[in-house]
Amino acid sequence: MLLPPEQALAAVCPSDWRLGFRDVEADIPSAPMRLVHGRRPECFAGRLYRNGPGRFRRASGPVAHWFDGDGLVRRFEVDEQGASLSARFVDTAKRRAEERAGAILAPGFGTPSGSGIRVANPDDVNAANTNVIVAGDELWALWEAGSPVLLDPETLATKGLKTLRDDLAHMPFLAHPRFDTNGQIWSLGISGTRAILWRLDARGRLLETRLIELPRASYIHDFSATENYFVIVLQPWVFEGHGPTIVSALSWKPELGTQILVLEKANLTRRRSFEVPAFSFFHLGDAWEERDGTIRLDACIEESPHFAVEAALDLPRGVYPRGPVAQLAMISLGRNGSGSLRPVSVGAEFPKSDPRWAGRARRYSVRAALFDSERPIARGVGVYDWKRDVSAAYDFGADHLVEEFVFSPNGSREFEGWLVGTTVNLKAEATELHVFEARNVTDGPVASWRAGTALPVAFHGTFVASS
Amino acid sequence: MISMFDSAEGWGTGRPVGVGAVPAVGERANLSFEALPPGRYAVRAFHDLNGDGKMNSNAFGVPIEPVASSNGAEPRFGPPQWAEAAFNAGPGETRHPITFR
Repeated sequence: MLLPPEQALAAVCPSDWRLGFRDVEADIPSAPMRLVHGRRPECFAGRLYRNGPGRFRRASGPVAHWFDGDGLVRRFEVDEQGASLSARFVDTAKRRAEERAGAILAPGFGTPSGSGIRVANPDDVNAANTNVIVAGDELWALWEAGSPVLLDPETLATKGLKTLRDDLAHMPFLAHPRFDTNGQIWSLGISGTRAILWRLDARGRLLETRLIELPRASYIHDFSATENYFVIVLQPWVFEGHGPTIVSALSWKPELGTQILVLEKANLTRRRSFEVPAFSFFHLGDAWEERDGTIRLDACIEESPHFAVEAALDLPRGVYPRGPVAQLAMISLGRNGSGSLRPVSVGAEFPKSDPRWAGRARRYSVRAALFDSERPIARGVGVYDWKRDVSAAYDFGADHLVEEFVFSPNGSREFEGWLVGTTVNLKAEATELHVFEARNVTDGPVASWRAGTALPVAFHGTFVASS
Repeated sequence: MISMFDSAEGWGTGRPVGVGAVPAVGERANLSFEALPPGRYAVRAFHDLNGDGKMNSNAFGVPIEPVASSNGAEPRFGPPQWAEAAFNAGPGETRHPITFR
């Protein structure tokens, strides 16, 4: 009897990381999760929304890149009754076209176009798979090259594209907006050397847009901001011409170094430019200004875009070519115009911090930590203390694929609260939800719940505490 | 708003041999181009939702009004190629449907 490849592999390697890249065949109705460790802290209740590619394969074959799977939005709910999980695919034009054709059609980050797909605008190929944010009463699935997609926060049903203004339909909107402590939401949309700056209120209503020219056409996945400045990191991974995929249109040119643009929020024409050594990156932390005017931000940096260009192409096919992992680094931009990069030699991805300190001088960053060379994805959660320059981490062990952990406040000091996130337990073949005391990450989770199924590894999300 | 082109060069540089407008009321509308010699032609049209006579685009040049081409040729990060949209017209009357999706 011939087994499908995933099953055959699972029979041989029970803790197989490939479980984190399997397809979800259908939406998952809400089902209870089982408490498998500890107890729910009394002050901990709320909803964790997460988004990530949930479907990679059609009859014709797989997408050619991890980043191109269909967005599957998950809702983990914790209250006095316990925990539950539901998940629903974002209903996109891409998914409908591919469902109809039984084939991967949409061009994407690493997947070339199939024949017969209509691409009148970027939203025709919007995978809506990278992040999910809350804006007022609304839930938005984010991608980066097209519009946010509006979802129902209760049912996760897709309500349609979120067009912020009629004449700005189908404009790009990054998956990593910055939420400032005034309640405003800032994002960018990138097209080569052109960028649109989006300023929204806390409810997601458009307040202002500005068009910005950038000095190079870098691939930009994330940007940062202090209280008074925007920080736009321009890596030497630049668009040159067009290609069948994003990756094929990008050239790695380390000789250019990394250029960092600092723009004054109050007057965007006032900009400063800094040079730091070349690196490749996806994710940045919230930035801040020191008393002496130095701007600092942490970043997860790589020596080259090896992961995006080589490793991530193979993940949906169950192959992991080994390579270096991203490291945590501190970027400093001095008042005298000098920029510096200080790697702190710990593996890092999905950096987060206390949102109440967004744009303000802060001490702590949380990240996915502890990477094995044998397999992709972290196996631990780490907290970096920038004041003492010390890392603390909890190792879930080789049986877990550790995803992004976000911080939720419980107490008035910075980083007093919870770390909330998920892992794929490869041994139990199930997705788990975990809560840590943020300031005691090495103690391990204070509570863990296990779902009845394993969902593939997701990217980013938002925790909404119950009041 | 409908533009008719008689060459790949015209199609590529936006130089039509005929333009016309017809109100989009109900599900169908007809427009006739008369006195054109038999040959190969391609048509592209947009639905002028705001009635300003222009095909509106967003700040990055992406069309934000519905567009359609002859032969059901699909856009692919831009209008379809002449070769995909071109059809033979004439001698005599030729009817060619343009469908907005």
